Amino acid sequence: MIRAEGLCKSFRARTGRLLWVRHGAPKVAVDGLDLDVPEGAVTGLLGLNGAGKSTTIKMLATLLEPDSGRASVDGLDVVRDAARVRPLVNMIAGGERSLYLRLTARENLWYFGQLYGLSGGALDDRIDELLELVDLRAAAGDRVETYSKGMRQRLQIARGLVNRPRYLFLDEPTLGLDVPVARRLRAVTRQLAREQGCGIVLTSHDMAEVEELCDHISVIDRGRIVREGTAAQLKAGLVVERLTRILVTGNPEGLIDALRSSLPPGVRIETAPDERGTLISLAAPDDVTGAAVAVVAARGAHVLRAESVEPSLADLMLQLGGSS
Amino acid sequence: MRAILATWRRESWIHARSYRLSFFGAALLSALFTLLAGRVLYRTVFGGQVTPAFIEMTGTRDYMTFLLVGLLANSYAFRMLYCVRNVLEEHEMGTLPALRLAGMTSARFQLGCAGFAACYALVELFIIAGAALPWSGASFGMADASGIALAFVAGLPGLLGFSMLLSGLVLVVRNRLVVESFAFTLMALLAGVAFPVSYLPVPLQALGHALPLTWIVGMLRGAVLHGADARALMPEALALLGIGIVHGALGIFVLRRAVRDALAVAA
Repeated sequence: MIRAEGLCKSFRARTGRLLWVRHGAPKVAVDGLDLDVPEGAVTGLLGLNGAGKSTTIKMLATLLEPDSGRASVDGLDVVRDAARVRPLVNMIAGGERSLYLRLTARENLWYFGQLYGLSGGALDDRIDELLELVDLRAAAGDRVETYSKGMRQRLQIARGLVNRPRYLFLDEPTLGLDVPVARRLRAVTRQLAREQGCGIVLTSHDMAEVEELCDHISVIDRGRIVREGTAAQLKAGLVVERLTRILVTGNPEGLIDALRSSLPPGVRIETAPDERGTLISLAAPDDVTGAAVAVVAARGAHVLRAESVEPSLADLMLQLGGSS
Repeated sequence: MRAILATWRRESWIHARSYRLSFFGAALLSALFTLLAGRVLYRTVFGGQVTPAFIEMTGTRDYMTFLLVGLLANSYAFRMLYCVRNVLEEHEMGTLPALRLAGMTSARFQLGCAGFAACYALVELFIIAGAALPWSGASFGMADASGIALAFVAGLPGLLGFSMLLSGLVLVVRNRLVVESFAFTLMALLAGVAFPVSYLPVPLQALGHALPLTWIVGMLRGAVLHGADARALMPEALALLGIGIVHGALGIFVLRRAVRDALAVAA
């Protein structure tokens, strides 16, 4: 279990170099953050840019020291026992970095494997296993500088797994990847958590990805956890309008007035022409899909499609954006 | 030890692919052209003569050997210090966090890089000396092999410590060219690569003695020009070791802070 209690971290903007360095006012990146990351599950860390996600991850991974508060990995303090924590964790960031472009995939993995104390046949086997996992076996002898973005990202995943981490930090792992590659990486992530018991912390701006992968989500805003729960719990707690869309044939006269008079006050109704008829959109505090379809049917209009649009995690992000 | 050897091997792969002949050729030609310029000046401007003051300061009238030994020492230092850019390159490539997570320390990293540089330098020096001796007028006839070996071996910790300090500075200013060109040029001037350091003002001489290259040049000239053996050069070797320890301690302090700041930058 990774446990963070009251983590705080501030940065001072620096200008100049060496003797001419000037420090600006401290900017709080993480402000009393509490977080639990269990093994065998994917924990999402959601937030807008600058919310403190990457700083939090770096502190948990021993790359940054917190100003105050405490964090531990399986009971080991990330500051005091940093050297013992590092073999237990690893981090994979989105993009194409953290690799040696002039080395081949196999050489990259060999180098990092050596740093983790692996050698000989055990390291060779681990490299083969990882290359197979990320589907790079055929290109293992090619220099990374000749790789596509997706291939580099897959190699990054392999590098991050070389030490069989008990906890893995994934910072925007599918950033800019093609759909098939991103899907494969999501499958690998799921497999790591479910089958190998790896505790994963995921940050992503892809809400569908977060919803698909995360067992638990912590929403971070201005360095603090502001909401927590499963994706369903977070969405249920959202105060957003429910949207209903009904596609009807033609442009039935008087239908809009009938909807206005039959539905509760406060429902916003908009219409837009569609190539197959008219699209009616209804926004209301509660779901009015059933009532609206009944009104449309009673007026004799033919319903081609009716849907109730659920609130999404993207709405949650929009709310956070609106409040900041 | 495993991390040091792995870094050594990684460096050999990267150098074999990235720099190969052009990198090596540049160093070779730079040394040979400087030697050629020195020979032309020595023959044409100075008529193949050195002043009595030069002889008094150096104990020799053999300027071309004096110059060649200075250039060989300078090439050795340049190659050993070339890796001061590596930490900044790791930062720019984004590999610094991965290295840190893998337990790589600044000292181990620098040892791996410098170890490869030392091997590279050794080959390079043999080729430069081999290419220069037939035509330059320099002679190694009086050279003592044990003295030469001690100069290079004692130079390792001295240059390693200095490289750690420069690596930290390169990472702090995030600009390798400024530090490299300034430090390397100043070092060649203060160490007396082409002339006796005694020609410099006393404060600059004192500054020069804080640099490992000055001591390496002195030891090599002692071994080549005066036949000094390892035992005779031991005091200088110990001074070089001391300088390496001081620079290394300072370098680790600066490098640790610089790495910490670099890791925080992207947060």
